[in-house]
Amino acid sequence: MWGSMVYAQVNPPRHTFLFSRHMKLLFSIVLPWWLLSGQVLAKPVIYYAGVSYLGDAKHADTSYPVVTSINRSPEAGEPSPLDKAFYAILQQASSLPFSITNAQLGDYESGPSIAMTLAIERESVSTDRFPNHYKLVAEISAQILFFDFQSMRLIASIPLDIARNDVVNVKGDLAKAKAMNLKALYQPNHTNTNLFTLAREQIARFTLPEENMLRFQVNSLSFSDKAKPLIPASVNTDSLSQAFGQYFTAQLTQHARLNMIPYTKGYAIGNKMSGRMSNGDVYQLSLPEPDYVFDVNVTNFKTINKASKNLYASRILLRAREATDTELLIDDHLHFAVQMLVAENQRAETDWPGYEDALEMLLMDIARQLQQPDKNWFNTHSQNKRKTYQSFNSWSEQFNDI
Amino acid sequence: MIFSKLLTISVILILLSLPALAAEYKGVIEHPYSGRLDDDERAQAYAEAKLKAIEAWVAKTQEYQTANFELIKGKIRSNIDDYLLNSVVISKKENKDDNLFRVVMRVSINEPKLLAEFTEAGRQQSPASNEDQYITFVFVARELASRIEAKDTSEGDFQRGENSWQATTTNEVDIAVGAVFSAANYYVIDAALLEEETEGQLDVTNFIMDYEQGDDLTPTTKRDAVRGLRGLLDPVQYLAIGTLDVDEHSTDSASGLYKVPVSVTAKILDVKRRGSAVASVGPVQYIGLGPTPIVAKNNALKLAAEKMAAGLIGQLSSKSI
Repeated sequence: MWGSMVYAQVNPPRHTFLFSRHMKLLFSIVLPWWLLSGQVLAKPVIYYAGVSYLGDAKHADTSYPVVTSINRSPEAGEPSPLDKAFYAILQQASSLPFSITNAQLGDYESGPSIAMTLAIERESVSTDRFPNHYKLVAEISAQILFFDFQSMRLIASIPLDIARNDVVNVKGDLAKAKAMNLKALYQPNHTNTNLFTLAREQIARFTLPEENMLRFQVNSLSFSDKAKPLIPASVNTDSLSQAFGQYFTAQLTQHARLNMIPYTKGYAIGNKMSGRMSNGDVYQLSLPEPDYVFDVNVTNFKTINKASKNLYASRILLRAREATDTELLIDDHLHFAVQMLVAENQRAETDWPGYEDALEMLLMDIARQLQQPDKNWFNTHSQNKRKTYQSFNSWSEQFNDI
Repeated sequence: MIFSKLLTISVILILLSLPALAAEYKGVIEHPYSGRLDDDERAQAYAEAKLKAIEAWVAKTQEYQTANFELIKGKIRSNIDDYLLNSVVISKKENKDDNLFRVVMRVSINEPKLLAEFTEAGRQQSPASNEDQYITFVFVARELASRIEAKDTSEGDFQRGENSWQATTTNEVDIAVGAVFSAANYYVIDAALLEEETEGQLDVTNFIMDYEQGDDLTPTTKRDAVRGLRGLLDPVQYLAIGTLDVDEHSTDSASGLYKVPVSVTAKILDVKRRGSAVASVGPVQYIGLGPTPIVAKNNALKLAAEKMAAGLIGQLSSKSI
């Protein structure tokens, strides 16, 4: 077909000439419009690398017992069920900013070759005991990692957090209920929100960062000596720091629209981040250096008892600076309180869900305020009120829409 | 046809617009200014910050090129953007009290271009020569075959410790070293090809046997090889030799991958100058990671070979040879 067209151009009869003019029109008007409309330009190819598990490969089965039990390949060489399901979900989406392929990885010589994995980084279930029932909150944290598979360097990440609440009778099987709730979050065909549809929604809103975009990172999230005794003994403080560090990172990505590098205190050594693919392959990604960093110290938790309800408050010291500088751009104590109904014989240990909620709300609000500061919020939630409002204002002027 | 070309171009543009991968470094500068900070002074501060970032890259990864870098620092400063793939201002702060303009920049360095400039700058220091620069090399990878620990014998004598090695030449090393030497504009001749031309005076097997017994060549092997190369009709100027000692593998605690350390020692002998060493590297240790011990070993050998060859070339060019 093309051959005959080339021949026609060499020796053109009239109808071919007309056809050629039409083609010229097509190329000069329609094609540039089509190219510039984003239909072609916005679709780089991303190679699909399936589901993976962050951290030491040896401990993947124990760190993520639920997902590793579901996502087993039926036969060697066959894709694992969740790998397959997530790929199908991505293929159903019409508005993804890139085309995702599970074909052979790209040609190393042809330019940046980017792969994507949905990396699970935490599955947990918190339990809140009431006289006749347990309140369960099942949570999964994950990262969608985009990386150059030639240099194994992280290019971008989208942090994800998803939770599911449930109530279980005290006489019921608590362990089974915990596993069921986590499993529900991994069900790709489940009618409720699940990790994979959430991931697809986030990917649809995402664009790969340009090289010249500023990078931000939560540098540390720690608990003060005053706050630590109020954390239940059954909760590991390091894991908690990791969970809240990642949660804050997710909020900053979503609400402050910042280009975030993952918070990886738990499983990154130096600036390397490791994981294991569902087929057992181990990977190690190097992370870029941040340009700006946040440090969060949880200074205290407080309870104010009231009739039939309690107020649970979390207080933090938030600092932000340019990574090579000591001058602080943000430096203040911030706090947030939530109300919770109290059961008649509620035990002291169950104060923790209240503190946890208050801390989550505070971190989410901070991310929102970084994008669009509201003076009233600082009057209620910050120690330095106007001064901190001004520093958030300067921040948003400097970094919004960069 | 046109359509397909346009499509190809647009796809290439898409790929180019994705983040490129290069060495990234930051430069921080406090630029003093007089009176009012004007556009020229700002531009000067940005250029200085970019140069600082290149200085940091040289200091951290190209220590053997420091002398060459100093030779062309002025040229780089005046055309700084030609050596960068990308640059971004991270922070700019004017301290009006002290008349200081603090600038932080992140740059992506065009490494191949700068390294080529460094090598060229070093070479230009020497008198112009019409001769082609030939180099050959024998690098062997060694793994421990047996070890005798140092001890006092029952007769009361002291017995020195001794290692014996299993040595081989490897493709990973040969390809990596050859690529670095070629990129520095040397004509690389496979040592095996020179065996016949030197009538066996350069014999790769002798090198391997020497390195199985000790850490250096015997005087006979070295002398014969140098003599053989000097006697060629079209002489080979440089002979690079060295060892890459592969240690036992272990598991990397962070990733669970296999980890293999390789210790490298190398030097370049100047054939014209009676085999004197004109560049040397090591011992320096590098670590390779991989899903199997063999992949980890090959990665370590490749990394060590590339770094070692770059170090040798940096020294060779800075000596204006």
